[in-house]
Amino acid sequence: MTSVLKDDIYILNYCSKCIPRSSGKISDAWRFPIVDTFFDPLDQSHSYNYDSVTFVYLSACPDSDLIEIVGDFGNCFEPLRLRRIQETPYFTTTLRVKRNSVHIYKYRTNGIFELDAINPQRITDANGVEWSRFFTTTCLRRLTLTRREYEVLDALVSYICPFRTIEAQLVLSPSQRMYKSVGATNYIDKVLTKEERHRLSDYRTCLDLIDGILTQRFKTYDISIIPAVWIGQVLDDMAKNSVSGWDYNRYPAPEQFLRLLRRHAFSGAFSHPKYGGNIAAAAWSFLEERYRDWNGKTLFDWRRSIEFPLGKDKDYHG
Amino acid sequence: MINEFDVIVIGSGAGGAPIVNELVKRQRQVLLLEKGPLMRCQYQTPDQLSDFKRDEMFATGPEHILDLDGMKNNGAAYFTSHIEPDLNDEPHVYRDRDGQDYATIEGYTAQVVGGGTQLYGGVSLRFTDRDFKLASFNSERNDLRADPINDVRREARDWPISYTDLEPYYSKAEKLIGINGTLDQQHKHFCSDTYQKPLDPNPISLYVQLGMDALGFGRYRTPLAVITADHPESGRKVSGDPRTAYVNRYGDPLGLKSNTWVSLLAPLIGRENFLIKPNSVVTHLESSRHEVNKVHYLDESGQCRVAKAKFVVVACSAIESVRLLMLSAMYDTNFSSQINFNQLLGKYFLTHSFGGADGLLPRRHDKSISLDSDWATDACLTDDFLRHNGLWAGGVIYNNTSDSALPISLARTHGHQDLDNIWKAFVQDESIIGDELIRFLDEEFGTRVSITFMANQVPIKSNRIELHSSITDKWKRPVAYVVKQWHSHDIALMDTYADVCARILYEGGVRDIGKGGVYQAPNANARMANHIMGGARFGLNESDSVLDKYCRAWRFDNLYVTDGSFMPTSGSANPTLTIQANAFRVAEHLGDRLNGPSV
Repeated sequence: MTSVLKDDIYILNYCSKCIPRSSGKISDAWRFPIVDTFFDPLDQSHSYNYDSVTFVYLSACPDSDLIEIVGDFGNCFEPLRLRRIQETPYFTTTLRVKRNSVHIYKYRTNGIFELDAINPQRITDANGVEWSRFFTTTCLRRLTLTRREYEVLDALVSYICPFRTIEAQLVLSPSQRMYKSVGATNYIDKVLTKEERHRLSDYRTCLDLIDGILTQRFKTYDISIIPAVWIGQVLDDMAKNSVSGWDYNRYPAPEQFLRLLRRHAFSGAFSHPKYGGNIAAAAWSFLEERYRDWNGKTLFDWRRSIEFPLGKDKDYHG
Repeated sequence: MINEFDVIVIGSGAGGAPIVNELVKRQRQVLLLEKGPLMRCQYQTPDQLSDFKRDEMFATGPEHILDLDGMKNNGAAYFTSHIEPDLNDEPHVYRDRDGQDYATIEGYTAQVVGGGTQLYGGVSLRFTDRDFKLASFNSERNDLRADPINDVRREARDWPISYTDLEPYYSKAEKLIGINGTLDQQHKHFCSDTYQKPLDPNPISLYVQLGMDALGFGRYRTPLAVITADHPESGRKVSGDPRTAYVNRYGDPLGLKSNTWVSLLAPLIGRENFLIKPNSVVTHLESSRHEVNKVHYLDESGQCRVAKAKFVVVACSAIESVRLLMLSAMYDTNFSSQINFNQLLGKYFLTHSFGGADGLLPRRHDKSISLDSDWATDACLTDDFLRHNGLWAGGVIYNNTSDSALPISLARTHGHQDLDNIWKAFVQDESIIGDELIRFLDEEFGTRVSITFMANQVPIKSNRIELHSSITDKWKRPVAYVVKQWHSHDIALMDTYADVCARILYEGGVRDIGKGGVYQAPNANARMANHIMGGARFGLNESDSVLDKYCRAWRFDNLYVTDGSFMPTSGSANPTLTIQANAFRVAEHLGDRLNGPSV
């Protein structure tokens, strides 16, 4: 496992906003561990396969504590020692970790294992042992939604954001979906794991309700064969807050969920691919291809501002 | 731990950084305390990675839910940038037209080294000579529209300095900060031209250019705090093209945007007489008679610290500076008696009367290749224009180029939403779904041209900053409470300027034009355009101002306030350059005081 040099300023920038509060609660706890760009100036394109991951531990006895981290990113869970930041109670280390990966870890404080008290992501392994967890950018593994929830969500998102490239339009019928190339559903799975965990219950409840309605209404369990226009009908009903078969005791306002879903779908489609959507910049490419002038020159040259190798800008390192 | 310095500067933005820059160069011992983090450019970090990213999710991040009892919008969603405070930790509160209190992100320019200059679009205009003399200009006038009881004549103030007094410092600021633009057709006197050459305008700006020309409005390239050539004063070299559309509400990873960190502070790093402490929040000032003798702050891990200095300069941006002074008064009775003797602290809070016009074009343009603005005009700043239209003061007009240039920005600002209502119009417009979403993009992406006016707001004593009676921040200190409303003359002024903006677009060939002023927004009382001024105005008379002409608190020998709170009127343009220029002026004064007999 490769260590990465991150100076104290970098780490304190995160800690100072989020951690010291009278209430003791952590603001934006999801930011930890800090998953960020990795860059090796000698090998820019290879750098793009990795992230830097910075762990922060808040110690109650910083003068005497020995803090280590163990995880499946290390050498057979070999403990790595964290260093103290100046005279603060923060201990840290930064590692280079492959993109599109998921890892478990714990801290070992003076020999005793404990979960990360800051990072809210937890997972229980096959042996019933609880671990702290993080994932790196462009992660394509399904983390929070169940398989069925993902399938239902995929169908909804593909209707909301029907981005079909011109090429695809020539070979596919309008009802066939190109959602997999955009990845907004994957984005939603990630944002529910991390930044907007508070919205998971909305998705759990509403996807279950929608699944039941679709299954009942169209007499099939196979979501993928339901034509997009029928999915649209359900969404139209949700917009009017009038959905036949909806359990309003479980979720009073389907319109509110639709609004949440549309924001997430759009963000997932067009945010930087590191968030899990807009896979390989598919949605940006959709705009780039769709909007051209009479000479064929694109009218959305996103590549010129985005870091190489995703975009063309070699001056900007991401 | 107590540290002792010549000067402690609180806040590193437009009002604080020039003070630091001048006094460090004069070999004084300077401590800079900044509440926010130190976010660096690529060339400043060991791994050549910036803390700023070209990432739309940085400008406005994930959803938070407001959890503040007593706020009318408790439970509402809000979205803030990574360098704006979490509203649940440090809200601003304002009183809306319904008399209810709302939490808002408005009025926070950014909490980061460099302050608002890290996130702003960089528009760097001077005020006009007229802006300094609005009391004199209006003293005999009976033609002002929508001012039935002569509020303007009663409340307008001349500045205690003139444009001529400030001009050398405007030049100094422009040179040291690094600004591109053109001088010809600006209605201000320049002793020197230090502008760098602007880059080619975005083709969408042609409509505005044609419109201004058709109306006979002299136009000039909007001065922007972005370097287009190497800038030896700050040691910056141009690499890459700054026209990326990641401009307004984005820090610049390459350091081409001339925020005060890269321009004025970073070049000083390494000097033994300069200590910068980011992530350090000043909780209050302590005093003895006419001297501020201690600055109390929390360091990056929340530990209490104390520092002392011969002089203390507060420059936290207007709302937070006033709040800091009020908090200090709350904790220290001597401080209270010295700062509150005339009950003017917090009063005459100012923003700008702003608004504009926009329209959809039949042709699309690539707005992602842009900075924040291309063309500006001072045509509506002339005395003739003001008298003809019955207006007390003027405003600049300039076009916007980077607005809605990126897809997520387009969606979340749909319906002209402000910071508090990001995403709202888009998610509430349920027609934007499926094929209609594609149609929305077809119609709106790269097709909207807009133009803005920025004008003086009538000073009203009841527009004020207070400490909220119940809401506290994460350190249990009362938060700032903004009480403000628009004067009827502001509304008349905004209507007039919106009409002018619409005419410019019409003459430029734009149709289907919308226009208006901010007073029409549902949350008009909160809207500030992040131009926050007043609350501690300077003047010649201690019964009528909080600060003297050098921005010194009247009854303190060593306390200065140099962010926008010093302004008695808000000026006819974006305030940043004027704040910077004035800070250089005050810095020179402080430097002279420090060189004199020991204080």
